[in-house]
Amino acid sequence: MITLFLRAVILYSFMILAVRCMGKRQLGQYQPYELVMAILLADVIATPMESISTPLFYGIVPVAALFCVHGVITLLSFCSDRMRAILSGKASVVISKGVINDRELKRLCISLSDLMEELRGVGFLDPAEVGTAVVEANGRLSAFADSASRPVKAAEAGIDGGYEGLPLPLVMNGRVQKHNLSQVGKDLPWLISNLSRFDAEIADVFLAYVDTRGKLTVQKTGEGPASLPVIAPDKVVW
Amino acid sequence: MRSTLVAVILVTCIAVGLCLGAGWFLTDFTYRCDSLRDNALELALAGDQEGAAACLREVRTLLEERAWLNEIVSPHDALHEVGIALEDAEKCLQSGDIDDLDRAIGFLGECLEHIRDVEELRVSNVF
Repeated sequence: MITLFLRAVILYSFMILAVRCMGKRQLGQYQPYELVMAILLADVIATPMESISTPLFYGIVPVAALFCVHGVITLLSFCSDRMRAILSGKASVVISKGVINDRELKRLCISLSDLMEELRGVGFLDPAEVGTAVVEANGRLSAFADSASRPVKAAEAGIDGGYEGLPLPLVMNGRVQKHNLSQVGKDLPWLISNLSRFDAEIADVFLAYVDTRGKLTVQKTGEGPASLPVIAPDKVVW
Repeated sequence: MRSTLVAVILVTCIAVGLCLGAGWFLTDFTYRCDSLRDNALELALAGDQEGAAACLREVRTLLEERAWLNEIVSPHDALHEVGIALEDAEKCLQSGDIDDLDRAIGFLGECLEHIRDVEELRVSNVF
């Protein structure tokens, strides 16, 4: 029985490594060859995992072979648009200038009710609000409102909202995030002195992060968040 | 892109190396066992029971010495069958029944050939 346990651990670790090497896209949105890969991978390792009399290599070698084929296909798709179109298909515009393209829908075998369902899925109740909708190569629908239906952008209203980047957590669960701290361009004494402005020590802090406007927000364990400016917005370096 | 290319080349080399290595290892093992089993039968037919027993012992030693690697690259059931056939041959030799020994050694050869056939690269195996 322990052998089964160990085999499962080894194959799981190997699969994690293989899927990690295949990149992020393998985890979420599938291209056709990626979907095939995901289906095959699960099946290939099942037999050696449950049957002790089958060598582990009977699972590992096919996974290695799939990895190689997948890698070659990925490289071909990357290097050649033609190959990419053959292997993954092309995006299809199903709504253009607010007009539903029924010929394209028929070609893709998508019924109107399917289209409406997909549009609701991306936040459009009324198809008339959609300016452009595209069925991507991976089968997902991307839809964009026409200019009359979408909210006004800050730039169109002449408002400069300034730079909005990623807030960096500096303390999480009482632990200093050293990498983020160095990315902010500050050191531990700077953090401790700023936390003291909130009457907080590092161990008491549940979450502390600094945003790209230079504002430090601190939430102590069991308390609400509080914010103070700690860096001038023009000194923000990340 | 470069890292993907390197990974593909590396994994291909390792996988192909592993497959070729396993193929060579199993072929070498089965041919050596085959040769010993042929010798055992010839010696038994010539009346040299001791010589035949020594050959079969050598097959057993080979099987046991290489068991750990055999079990990594070959299905355990096939190896188990080789073990059973070998034991059968040893018992037939001890009882002095040449006909049964001939049959048992033939079965041992069949088991070894099965291992070799499964590993062999040929169209019928691929499809």
